[in-house]
This record gives sequence, C-alpha cells and structure tokens, in this order.
Amino acid sequence: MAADVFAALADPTRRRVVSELASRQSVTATELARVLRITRQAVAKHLSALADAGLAAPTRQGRETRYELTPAPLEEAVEWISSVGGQWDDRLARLERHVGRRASR
Amino acid sequence: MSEIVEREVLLPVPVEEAWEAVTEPEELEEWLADEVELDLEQGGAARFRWDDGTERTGTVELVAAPVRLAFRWEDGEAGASFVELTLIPVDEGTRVRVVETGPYAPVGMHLQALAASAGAVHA
Repeated sequence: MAADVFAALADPTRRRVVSELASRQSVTATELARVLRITRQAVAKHLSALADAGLAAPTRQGRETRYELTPAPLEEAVEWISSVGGQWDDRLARLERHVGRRASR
Repeated sequence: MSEIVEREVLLPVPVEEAWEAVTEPEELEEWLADEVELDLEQGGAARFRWDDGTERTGTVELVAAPVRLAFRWEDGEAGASFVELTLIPVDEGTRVRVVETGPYAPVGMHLQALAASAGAVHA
C-alpha cells in the first residue's frame, strides 16, 4: 500500500538504505553498515522496516543473509502520486465546464 | 516544496460565484464527487461519495469566505491529506488554486529519484 511506502521512506537514513540497495544487486547488513557508517543493528532495523513495506527482501546465501531491493511498491507509490494529480485535472476540468455553463446562462 | 499536487484553473465568474461553486454541496456534486455533505465551518464534517463506491470523510479546517477553504480528507490508500482551495479575483474572473498535501508529501520528491535508480539496476 502506498501509505506503507511513504511511512518507510519518511526516514532519511532509510532512504539512503534504499539508494544503496538500488545501486547494487544485493548487499548484507554488515556491508551496508560500513558504507552508511551506522551500526549493524541500526541497519537491521531499517532493513526490517523496508521489508515490512515490501521494499526489501532477504535471501540466505550460505551463512550470510543478503538483501535486495524489491522496487515494485516504489513504482506503485509514484503512480499513486501521479493519479492524485490526474484526479485534480479531471475535477477542475469539470468545475470549469460547470461554471462556464452557468456563466453563459 | 512539500505539496504533492498543485493545480490552477481560471473561472470566468466573480469570486462570490466561484466561492459558491467550491463550497455548496449541490455545486460540489457537479464536479468534485457524486454525493457531498459539507458543514461549512471550522471543524465541520465533510463526506464525499463517488458512484464507483469510494468514499472519503473529512473535516473542514479553515473557512475564509470568499477566498479560502481548507479541509482534511481521509483516503483509504494513503491516509489523510490536506486540501486547500484559494480563490484569487483577477480581471478575467477568478483563479482557483488547489494544493493537496499529505503526510507523505516530503517523501514525494525523493520517490521519483529512488524509483528511477531502482529501475536502472533492477529492471
């Protein structure tokens, strides 16, 4: 749901995690912690929040857990925002027609 | 900029008439929703229904006749957002500006960039 994506991305560190995930195929929490200069625990919390929003998915590879971005909800959220704009375009076009009809009476 | 949507339309009528078109329920039913209930005072209840079955309830946040109406409405998918209508009298009639802002608004500007970079690697 768009609301979950917005909530997950409201945190600036989480957006940096998403950027990092987006720039590579997969990454471990330890690698992310090194790149972002935050603790592994903090990274794990952010990854779990992103997973809850459907934005990241863990895969086990031997002894390590790798995370990758699952970008579909991002695209849905972008579409949702543009649909809000499209709805206002439609409504205001109807308002224009309606008031125009009244003005010409 | 935190707005997620900003739109403007020019109505060829005086501001008082434009105000009626954006505040009276029977007028709003001509363009905003199929069924509208709106208690036009601060804190007043608002309810919008569409023929496709969707419904939004909300609260009037600000009424400054005939220039500004603001309300909050609840959309099931993305939570509450804030809609502000501003009427500006001009020579040709009345300019109506709509700004819709949500709790998600600050994220909106980052989304496109994130989605684009995600698409490049994970397409």
